[in-house]
Amino acid sequence: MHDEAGNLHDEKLENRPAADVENLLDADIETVAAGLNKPQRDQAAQNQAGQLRSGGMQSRLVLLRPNS
Amino acid sequence: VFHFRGLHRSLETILLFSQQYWPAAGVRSHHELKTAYNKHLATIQPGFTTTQLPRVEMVTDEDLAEKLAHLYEDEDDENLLTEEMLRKAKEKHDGPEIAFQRKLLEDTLIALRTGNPRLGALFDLAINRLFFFPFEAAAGGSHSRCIGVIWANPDRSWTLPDAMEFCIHELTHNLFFLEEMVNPLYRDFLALQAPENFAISAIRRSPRRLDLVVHSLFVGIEILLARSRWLGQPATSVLHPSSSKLAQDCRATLRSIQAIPDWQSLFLPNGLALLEEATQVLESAGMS
Repeated sequence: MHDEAGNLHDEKLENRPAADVENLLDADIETVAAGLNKPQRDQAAQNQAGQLRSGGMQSRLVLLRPNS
Repeated sequence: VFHFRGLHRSLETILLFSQQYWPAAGVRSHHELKTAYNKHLATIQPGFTTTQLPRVEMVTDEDLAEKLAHLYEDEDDENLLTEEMLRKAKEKHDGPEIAFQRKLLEDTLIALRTGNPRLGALFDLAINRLFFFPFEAAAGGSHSRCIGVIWANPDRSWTLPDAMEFCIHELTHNLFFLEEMVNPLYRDFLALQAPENFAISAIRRSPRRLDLVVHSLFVGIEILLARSRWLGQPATSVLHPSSSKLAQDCRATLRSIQAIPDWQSLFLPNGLALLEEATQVLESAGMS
């Protein structure tokens, strides 16, 4: 997809309306949501409560520096 | 995470994170999930980090950008970003430069939505606000304090593929913050702060705290997979090295993690499983 200068070239690169994109995942979202069982959901809720209590998630700053 | 574990695993993480705010009948659409996700985010971080829009919102308002930038203040030795530094950066505000940055990122999101529509849609779901701030120490970044927010600071040397790699890079950090919330990777966060438990970052190639190193490993793998599956190999790249070098660096990172004494004891089963999956990806064909 790139020329020698690293520029992207693809005839499909037209301005796709954002609304198209917003509906694209609906079927996937419904399928995945329906597949989540109660123990999985309870465990995730418990994990998240623990993470928020411990504050372990409050300190992750990730800065991107140009490639050296 | 999108390339490494797939769209459904990425959606699963966002769904589990947001479950408290699911509609009674369950979640059936992007709109319903985005609404639940933002309601939950607004309970754990400032409300101005979210948006009412169904897709990522470009923030160019100076005051809002400054409020978002202050969430990145961090006194960490490696990532020193103080109020004073932010104040000085604000004085350098340059309207035409911000306009250039915004245009580049707008074009980038169009290219993402077109080149890989499902990835573009996932980006619009997980990322709420993208803001521009002229802090010179970095090209941009993410913070677990403001999930769904990306700070971008591209310069004029970036090509569109560079900016696409930037978006994939930062999306990975944000999805990983969510993964760490619903399915933690580490047994004891305090143990990660001990220098003897540091490993080598795949992106910076220097010793860092283990959780940041694991982030770097999965960012590196995401970039490698994106390039090999659809983005293509760049002739030059401002942000990441060539794929052969990046793959080498990812392998070196894995080895450095495994060189930590009793390294397995630092991880929960999810962390060990992710590292095993990473090992398999890096050993697979096309990753040499």
